[in-house]
Amino acid sequence: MPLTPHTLPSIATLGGLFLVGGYLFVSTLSDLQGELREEAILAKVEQAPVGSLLSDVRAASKKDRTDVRLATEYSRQAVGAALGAKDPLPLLCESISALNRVRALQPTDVNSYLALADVKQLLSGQASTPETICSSVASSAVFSGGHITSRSPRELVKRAIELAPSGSSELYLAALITLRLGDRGEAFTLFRRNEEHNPLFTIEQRQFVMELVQNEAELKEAIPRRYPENLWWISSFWKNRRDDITSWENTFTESLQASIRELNTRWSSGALNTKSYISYLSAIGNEVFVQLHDPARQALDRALAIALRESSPKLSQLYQFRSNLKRLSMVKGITNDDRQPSRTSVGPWLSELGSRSGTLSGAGGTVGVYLPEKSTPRLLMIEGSNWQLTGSELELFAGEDNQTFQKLRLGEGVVLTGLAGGLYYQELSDIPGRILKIRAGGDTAKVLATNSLRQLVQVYGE
Amino acid sequence: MANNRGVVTERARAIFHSLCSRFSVAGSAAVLTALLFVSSSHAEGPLRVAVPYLPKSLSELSDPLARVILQNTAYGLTKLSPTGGYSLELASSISSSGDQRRWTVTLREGVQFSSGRPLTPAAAVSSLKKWEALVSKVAGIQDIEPSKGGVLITLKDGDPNFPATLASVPLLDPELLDTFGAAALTGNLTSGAGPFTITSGNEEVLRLIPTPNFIHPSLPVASSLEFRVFPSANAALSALRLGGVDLILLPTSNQLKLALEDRTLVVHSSPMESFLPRPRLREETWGKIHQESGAAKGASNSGEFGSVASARGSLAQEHSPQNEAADTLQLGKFVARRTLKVDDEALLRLDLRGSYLP
Repeated sequence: MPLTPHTLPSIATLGGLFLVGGYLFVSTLSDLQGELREEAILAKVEQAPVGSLLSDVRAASKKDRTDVRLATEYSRQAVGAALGAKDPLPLLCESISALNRVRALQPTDVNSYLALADVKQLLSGQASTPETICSSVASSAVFSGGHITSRSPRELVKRAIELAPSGSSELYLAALITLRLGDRGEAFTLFRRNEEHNPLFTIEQRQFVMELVQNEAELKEAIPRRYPENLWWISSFWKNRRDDITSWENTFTESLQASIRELNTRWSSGALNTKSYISYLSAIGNEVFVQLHDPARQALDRALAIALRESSPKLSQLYQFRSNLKRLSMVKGITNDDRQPSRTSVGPWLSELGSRSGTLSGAGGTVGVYLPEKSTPRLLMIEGSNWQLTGSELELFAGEDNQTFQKLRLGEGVVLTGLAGGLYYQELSDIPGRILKIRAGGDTAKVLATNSLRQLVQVYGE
Repeated sequence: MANNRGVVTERARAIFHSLCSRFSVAGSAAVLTALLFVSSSHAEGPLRVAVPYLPKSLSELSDPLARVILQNTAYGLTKLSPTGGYSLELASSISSSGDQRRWTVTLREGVQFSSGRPLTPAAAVSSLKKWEALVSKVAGIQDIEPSKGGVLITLKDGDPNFPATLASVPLLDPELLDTFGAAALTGNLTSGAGPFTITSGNEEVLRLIPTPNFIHPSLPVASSLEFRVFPSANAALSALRLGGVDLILLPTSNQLKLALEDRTLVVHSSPMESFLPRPRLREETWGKIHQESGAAKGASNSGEFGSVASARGSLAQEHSPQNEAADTLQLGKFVARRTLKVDDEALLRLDLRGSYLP
């Protein structure tokens, strides 16, 4: 039985034991086909509330003290009953004794270590140790008198991880119990290891872990350092927690840089072919966070410059050049039918952080860029699909007050096939004013390029 | 005579359009840009407002026209309600501590500035801090900080009317304000979450279009909004009678007198006097404003209502001491064409989102 995402928040908030137990034991029981008595009990297990079959399972365990699966279910029923009991101590101790029995019968049973850690954790608020408490509590435990391990919940989790270092469900449960033990940093590390290496890690599990992250230190532990897992995190934070992604941008950037290094290592060693490598880098470049945060984009540009050196030298040179520049444009405006470009103001102004799309059309289509104060634009890029741009129809205007504009002399532009459709670029110098207008002339108002407003026109500089 | 001149004809409207686009800077381009932003739901045609001047900057909250433009472009967390209390606008809830010092405001979900950026707690805090001096004057703010899904505002003293005070505080996209720097809130260098967005602006005309993703999807009703400066009160009134504009803000005493005699026009009470902070006029008469700023400059706006020379003659007449009283601007009234649909929002706040000319 897979670990359903719905159980996860409950584990963290409602006393995970019950549900962790549910996972651990139902999976074991699903293949229990044995004596008639056990079979009859076990047939009821999945339908009945956990804890309600305690007396049945206890009786069955008394009959057969060597059945691991029965002892396991016995522990689970005891915990279930404890959660609703006035005095849960005897029942929790009963559960511990059953788990000790499981460990005695099968010393490498990872789940019993995890469950034991979880139950002992529940008793950790008591004045004495679980061992002392349970030795003095009168209970009807079948396995009472057996050895109660003195290992702490942390040690038990550690032992479980040693026994199953790459077990996906075991690592996930270990992370959940560690979280309940209050060791959030270690829990996030376990979640991350699990996500990086477990192909079955679900979207819901990722969402659950992301929601747990409360500060940058936790993010540092939790965010995967591999592609594409970290991109999913970044994409989700961008969508749902924009303020956090801004505040914690260094950690997101470090994660991206680590994933680019990891891809590069695989590519350099021949484990990843060039086509896939470029396509992965290109996917990273499509992420809004990467487009707008220079350190992440610059690291990507450097990797692309190397990767494209043979297949597309001009594109490689462009990325190399861009890797040393800052992105300048953050606010843009689109004005169509700009028939008097030296006197037509640009507006309304739109943020690049929005999701608007933009089109550059001929016969007077204009995109305006409001440049940051004291910036020096060095590179203009136009990127998009539906590409009809030849470069010859472009005009550049600059102004300070959004009322009057001066036409600029254009340098030599280059049109290429880029990673995301068509691409035009040219170097810039001496722009007189903070508003740069990129206007497409020509006789027909046909669409020349389409993209997100953010990527349609980009300006880089210092 | 007034009644004869009050007949609205399509021909006059066509002439006005033609002249506006000929004389205005970037007129046609801005209108076409506007059309690209306008969704099909805004099908009631443009709304045009005659004004004696346009504010140099929207940051002057004591300027009544700056306030009107902000009412239409940048909503606040609350708005004043007809009953004298407040209702929620960009906030979805407001609650206070027992002593009414700590106010917890939850932001309405899905609000976007006209720039396309979402209204986040951080953006709301930055924006409120922009006007902190103003709010502090009224309410005495000790601290503003983001909270989950909203903002937490701590006042120096308890104030049961604080939510109503928030109605006077427009929220603006701080990212754009930062980018524009000192030039922010001039021309079209602004971005709020109101029904309209400024596309272009200069000293003579300010053009606005419906904001995409406005919180009330069927609003505004008008396809565009335009504030146009007239060099004289007479020219503005002529434009109103001929259908060149649909209402006059800050009318003069004489305009009001003539409007009351004109069956095609109607005089409404204006809420300007209840704005917080209390509005202050740059000049008290329509004529003085243009005497100082150069009347001929604005005369081109109303060319179809008389030659530039006659506009100057008219100005000279209005500036004579005996006519000064008649030319005094009135905060408490506005004049509209009788056919203009004016809703409560317009009467309470001069928010023109629901006003239109059928």
